[in-house]
Amino acid sequence: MKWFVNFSTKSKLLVGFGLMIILLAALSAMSYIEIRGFQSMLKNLFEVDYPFSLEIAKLRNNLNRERVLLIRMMDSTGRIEYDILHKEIKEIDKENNERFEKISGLAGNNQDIMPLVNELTDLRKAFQKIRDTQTIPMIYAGKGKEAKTLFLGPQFELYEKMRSTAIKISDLSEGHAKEIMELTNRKVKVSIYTFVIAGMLAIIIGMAMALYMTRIIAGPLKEISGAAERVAYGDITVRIPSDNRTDEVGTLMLSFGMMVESLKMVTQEIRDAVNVLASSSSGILGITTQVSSGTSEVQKSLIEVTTKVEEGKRIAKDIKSLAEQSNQEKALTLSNKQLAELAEVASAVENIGQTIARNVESINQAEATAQNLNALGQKLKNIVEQYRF
Amino acid sequence: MARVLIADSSSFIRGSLKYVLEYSGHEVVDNTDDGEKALSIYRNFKIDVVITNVSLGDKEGIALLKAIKEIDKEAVVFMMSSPGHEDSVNEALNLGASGFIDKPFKQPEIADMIKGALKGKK
Repeated sequence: MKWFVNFSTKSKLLVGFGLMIILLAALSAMSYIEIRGFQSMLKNLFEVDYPFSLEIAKLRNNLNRERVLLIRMMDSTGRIEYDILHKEIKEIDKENNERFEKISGLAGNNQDIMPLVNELTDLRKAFQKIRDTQTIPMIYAGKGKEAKTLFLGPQFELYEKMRSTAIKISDLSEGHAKEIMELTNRKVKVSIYTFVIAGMLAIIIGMAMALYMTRIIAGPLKEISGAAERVAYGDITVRIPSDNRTDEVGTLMLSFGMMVESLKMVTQEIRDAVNVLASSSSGILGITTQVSSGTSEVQKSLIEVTTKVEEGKRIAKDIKSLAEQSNQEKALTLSNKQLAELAEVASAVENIGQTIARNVESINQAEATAQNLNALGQKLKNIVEQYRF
Repeated sequence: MARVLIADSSSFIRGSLKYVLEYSGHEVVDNTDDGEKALSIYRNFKIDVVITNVSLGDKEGIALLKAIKEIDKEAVVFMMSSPGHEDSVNEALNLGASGFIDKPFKQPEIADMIKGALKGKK
């Protein structure tokens, strides 16, 4: 799933939510199709099967009525009675014509029922033909007995066939309706199972997707925020896990890692600079002490110089006074002695001069250290300026 | 995996680049802000790739590139600079730099550049 992790966060969310939406849409489409199927079945049951059965039942009832009316007509004696019953037979006949049309229309393309409907239509036509051409004219001619014989003979046979065909049609229609009901029940059961399974699948996939998204997005973000918190409190030893992922979370992890590493490096540089500064301070302290003692030495040397110069003056004065007294020999002896003393004075002055030179060197060293410190300060300034990136 | 030396005056950039290179599986032998020191490290260690900024403290990146190329003509040296240094880019490329890395850099770009340069060297 590395390829999915490397998708941008936007794409991941789109895929995640898209999958959920597709699952919901598929479930909705399935529900819609199933409901439409049930609706169509119920519509068929209500608009075709039920009216068909009803029409067949009414037809059977009419055929019975017609038969009864014919028998009554045969048993009647007066013309008025014949006319009344004949008229009633005609009305039933007319009603049956309409009923047959409806039945043919409702049977439609049902290959089991339609042949029987055609057969019933033919039987009825044959029955009507005998009734209208033989039975009823016989009754009107006062031959009721012969008409009854005919009616209970071949016409009864036709009637029985019509009745049994109508019963067959009725049974088939009922069987068809039962079949539809059973099919509907089966479909309902299958639909329930399908919806339960699809629903559970949608829940499982949705939960898995939510958990996976949490793991690949929220998990690393939590880790980074924890690390950021530690860095905020001064701990830069944090390690950011590297997943080698190229999405925004991966970029964030990498950038954060880069930032922490830079911080470590800058901190190390500052630490090194501070150490150098500390050792330089110790050096300065030493040099300051040296300079201080050097200054005392210079002061002491200067006093010594003054003393020696005073001594030199005194010796020179003595030489001058001896010369004035014109005691040349004594003066020469004395002047040699005094010259040796003067040489000592000169040597002392030279030593003092060297001491002063050493002190001057220390002062120069102090100046160089000061320059180093200045450079160090500049470096620290540069480091600090890097923070303005 | 390559052994890399980083030379840049900014410790921030050195730190970021070090992390990116280690993240990509390379070894950062050392990092420095000093051109002379960089040259000394190059001489004393086995370095596969050098990444140097165009401007360094005491020694310019171009000078470092020249010095490294004098030692090894096949050396892989990447120059790094901020946008707007086209002159330096051309000069460095003419001197044999393996490529230019613009700041701010991206990890895949650097990983690909090093991979490509080392492949070409083999």
